[in-house]
Amino acid sequence: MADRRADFSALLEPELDALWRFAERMCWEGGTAEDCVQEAVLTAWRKFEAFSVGTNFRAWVFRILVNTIFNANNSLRRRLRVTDRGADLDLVAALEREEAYEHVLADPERVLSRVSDELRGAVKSLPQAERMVFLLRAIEGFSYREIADTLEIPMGTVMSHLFRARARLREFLADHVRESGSPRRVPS
Amino acid sequence: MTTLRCEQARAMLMAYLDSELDANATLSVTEHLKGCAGCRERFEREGRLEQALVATLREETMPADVRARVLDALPGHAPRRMRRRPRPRLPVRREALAFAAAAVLLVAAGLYLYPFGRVDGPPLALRATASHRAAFASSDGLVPPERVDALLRGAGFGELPIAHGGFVNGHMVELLGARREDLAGVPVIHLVYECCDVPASVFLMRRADFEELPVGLRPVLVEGASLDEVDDLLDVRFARRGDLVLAAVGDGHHLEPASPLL
Repeated sequence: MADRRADFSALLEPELDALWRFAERMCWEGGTAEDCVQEAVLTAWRKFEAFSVGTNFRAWVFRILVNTIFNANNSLRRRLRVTDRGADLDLVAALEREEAYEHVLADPERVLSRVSDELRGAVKSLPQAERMVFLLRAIEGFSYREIADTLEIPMGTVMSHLFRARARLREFLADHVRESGSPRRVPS
Repeated sequence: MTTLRCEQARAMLMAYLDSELDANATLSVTEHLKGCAGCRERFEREGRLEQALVATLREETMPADVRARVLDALPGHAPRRMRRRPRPRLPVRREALAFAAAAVLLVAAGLYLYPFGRVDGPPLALRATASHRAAFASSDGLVPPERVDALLRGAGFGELPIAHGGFVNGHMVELLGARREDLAGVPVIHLVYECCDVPASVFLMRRADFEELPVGLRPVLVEGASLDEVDDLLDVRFARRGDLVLAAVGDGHHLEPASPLL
């Protein structure tokens, strides 16, 4: 028991920040993120005997957390399966003609240093499905395949959600530059 | 390897930066970038923006108090059901403190609580507390959670959805199992829960199976039904849904007495 607990803790503790970060951005109400993480951790502990040491603990415990969030949000699983790829391309094509976006690309660190709090808000305002995929890929570094397996959706749907989330965040940054400076849309 | 036009290469920009392209596509994009300064600059700038975004959003860490609570909630070395936390003596107004755990369990089961009063130890409540104590001491005959629904259906209680657990008011409630019992001549299903490492029970029974409702469906405080050495006490709460009557037993003074559930 003690050894098993020590093994579990050694694997779990390096992942707690990531689990928290993910839950905190996927859950809105105060206290819910902590409840989700705690429930996921207890579930992981109960199932730990079934975990094969040497395999990917991070992906395993994130899958448990994602299922915990699904259980608290019945409609999210369905929304993950719905995408509209046509609109993605339009969004990016529009951004490519934005002078404001060129300013973002020219010095992203400076722009981000001015909007870090607002950026966190922008991430939380992403549609839930896009937000979940974006957080798993861009922030937590899971592969498209791992995300598809975890969320039980096709790889193409993962890519579509990710593309839209990234485009929306870039649009948010361009909006910020546009509102705080003078850049204008570049004629196409 | 395929020779790419600029728009084809840019369509693969993010997948390339994510290292998600297959070897052939990666080679094609790499070759295109070698010969196209415009795309190369675009890829580099998008990559830099993505890195800056990730760095900004990765800064957040789990608060120390949350980390401590999450880790503290993990079971220790002793088996969970036999572990007992040290509990203080109840303060003077103990009747005001004793109802929370059972309320948590009833609400977890999606039930309506009736207004309560207090009486001392009617037979059904005393039997319920004794059975609750026995279940804590021994799990003999306890059907595991995954078979509880089948047990309920087999006993004619299949219409009632039973909560298997979850968080209620920040407290983890978990169904440990269930068994059929005879409680003062009344056939019941005894659901054994654990809330914050403290055991609690819910008894399901049919209204038609006993003559008088226990104390008019009011909660009952049972003196002397101790689990520990201290002069602890247990409470029994009754609720009704249709033809079913439920009795919840638990010692709730580890929870907040001002629970909004009350």
